[in-house]
Amino acid sequence: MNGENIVIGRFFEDTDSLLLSLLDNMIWPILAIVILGVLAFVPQTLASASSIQLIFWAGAPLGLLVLAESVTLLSGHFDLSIGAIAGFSAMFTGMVLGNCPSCWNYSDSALLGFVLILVIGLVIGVVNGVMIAKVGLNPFLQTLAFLIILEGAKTAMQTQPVTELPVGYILPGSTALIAIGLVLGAFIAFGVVMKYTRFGQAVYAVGSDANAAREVGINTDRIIIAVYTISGLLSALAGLLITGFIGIVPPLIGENLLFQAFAGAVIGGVSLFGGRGKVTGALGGVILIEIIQTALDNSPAIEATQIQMINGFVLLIAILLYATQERIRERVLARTGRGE
Amino acid sequence: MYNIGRRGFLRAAGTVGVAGIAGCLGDIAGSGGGSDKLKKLGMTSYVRGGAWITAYNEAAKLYAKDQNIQIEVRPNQQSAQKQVKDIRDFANKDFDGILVGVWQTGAAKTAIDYAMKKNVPVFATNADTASTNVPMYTGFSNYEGGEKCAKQMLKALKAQKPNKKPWKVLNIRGSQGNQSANQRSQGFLDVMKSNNDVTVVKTINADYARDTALEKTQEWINANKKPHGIYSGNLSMGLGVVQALRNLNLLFKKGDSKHIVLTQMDGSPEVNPLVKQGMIDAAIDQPNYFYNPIAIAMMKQYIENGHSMDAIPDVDSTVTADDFTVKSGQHKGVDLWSESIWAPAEMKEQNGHPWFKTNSIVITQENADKPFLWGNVWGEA
Repeated sequence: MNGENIVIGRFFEDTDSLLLSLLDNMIWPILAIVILGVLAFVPQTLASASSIQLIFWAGAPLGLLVLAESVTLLSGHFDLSIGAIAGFSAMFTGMVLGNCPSCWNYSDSALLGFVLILVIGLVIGVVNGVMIAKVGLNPFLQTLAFLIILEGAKTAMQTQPVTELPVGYILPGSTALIAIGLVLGAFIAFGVVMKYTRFGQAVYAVGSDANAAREVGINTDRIIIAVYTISGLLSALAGLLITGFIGIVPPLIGENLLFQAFAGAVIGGVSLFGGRGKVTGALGGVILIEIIQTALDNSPAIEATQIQMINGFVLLIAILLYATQERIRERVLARTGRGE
Repeated sequence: MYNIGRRGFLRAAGTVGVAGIAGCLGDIAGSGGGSDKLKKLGMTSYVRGGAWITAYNEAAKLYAKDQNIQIEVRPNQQSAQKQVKDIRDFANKDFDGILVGVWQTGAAKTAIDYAMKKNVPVFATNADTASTNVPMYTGFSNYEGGEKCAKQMLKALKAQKPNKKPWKVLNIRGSQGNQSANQRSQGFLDVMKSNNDVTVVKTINADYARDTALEKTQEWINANKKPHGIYSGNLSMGLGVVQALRNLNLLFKKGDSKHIVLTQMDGSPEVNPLVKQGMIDAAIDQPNYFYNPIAIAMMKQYIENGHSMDAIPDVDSTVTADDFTVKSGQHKGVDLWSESIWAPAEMKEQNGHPWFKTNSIVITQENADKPFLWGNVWGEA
């Protein structure tokens, strides 16, 4: 190979690497375009610091659920019970701390509330993980069953709003900076863990090919249990933030959040088939969903009854972009001989 | 324009005077900061509930347009969290007031308090808030609606089945977690409990849904003896019950010995003709298309009087059509709001704030085709 060919080869190699990197981080240019569009057509959405803060604050619980779903997706699994865990853990803890017709009202300790809600999430996550990894249940069926059980248990426990929760307990969700800080902190922490630790690499390995991961010595069962435990913990934390944001525990808490969480992860570039994607991308997905939702709400051109339909189209467009990205990626990998 | 009656006018005039003096003295008390005119209104509401909620929401838009008020309606998407976000967003922007159909009692409290603190008045309609700070809530009493349905049921049973005592009736109720469903069911049950001639053989939870009511009623009747009467807690469940009886060949007009007495909450474009035909004995209807116009008129009054509670009728008073009117307008082929079916309204206190408790209408064969029933107006759309 002469010098000219080497230079051309290196140029294409660099271009391909750049393209692959761009595809892996596609959410950010998309987000930038959407923000420009919002600034052009619905500028009042981002007109003030308080409006921007509200978008992040209200989206904080969804952010944690997207993170929970992203981690399970990266491991090649998924968790349908995240919203139900958030709702059940918040209701159970609310009944221990708060006031309602049949509340237990055992304590007014915020600390106890934090410990309790997280322990509930952790225990449910461990059970999900053990049933999937050790008993061998299908993740769809296991987490669907828990979705139904937990939502049913929440209704069986309480059908009235739980009020008069300790001020300290609702503080993380009712204070914008704490809620936003918690979520950003969680994304940064998991971004680092997933990229730079053996655990993170093991999650990607299990998500890419569980058998291959097992053959190189990764304890796949332990990884799966850990992933579901993390998912349970993050979901419970989301329940805590929802409680604080609303100020009470409403009977339907945590419902209707599952599909948004999936959408956030997928829009953020996390593969539905495991092993690929970044949690930082998922953060971009959450921000994108929240900005679009708020802009639709703010737009005088869109009727209230049209918003859900338009949300659906936005999701569809994101999925189409995702599919296109996958195809381009496969083509580039085939060209460079780095096919998976 | 609406008018607020002599007593209200004097009070309002006094308030304007005091506000004027206060203005001359400057912002010594640190109050104020809100608009002095209602020009832009935010509204957060449920938008996917069928004809009833369409009438409720659309009336707000039509009335606001008549009054040259810009209105922005946002869907709560069945989420207290979404509603909290929207209320805060309205309060952060240039909205002069907020209308809230609260999705879950208590849930919007902190956001409503936040808006009120920013001098953006929040008026609740249809479903109340736990916030003590709202100037007024407008709506009928779900509990009394349930009671009225029970009384209509007893009246019909006495008239049509005097020799069938003790009467056995079914109670088809709405979702367990829903406050209005609980109150509608309880109002019905309490009247029934106080009467020795009737037994509620079963309360069935049909989740406010037509298909669930259809399925569960049909299953129950298949497995048990047919009841003498069935009460349904909303229009969807009532229509599900009618379909269940139709499927079982048990749907007969009143006057027929095989007729099962049906009473229910809510009229509708489908319910009203069934009442007219005698299939349904009575339905209790809300003046839903008045809720938001009443709230807007009161909010305008409240804002223009310097955000003063003096603009709101006193608790424990009765508001009649002579005291207060919602200006009618030509919409949807009728003179909308011309018949004050909301009156008389009782001013009560609920959750620490005034409650403009409207009257409710009993739909019977005699009035089922009248143009003041929302189902006969929005049904033509």
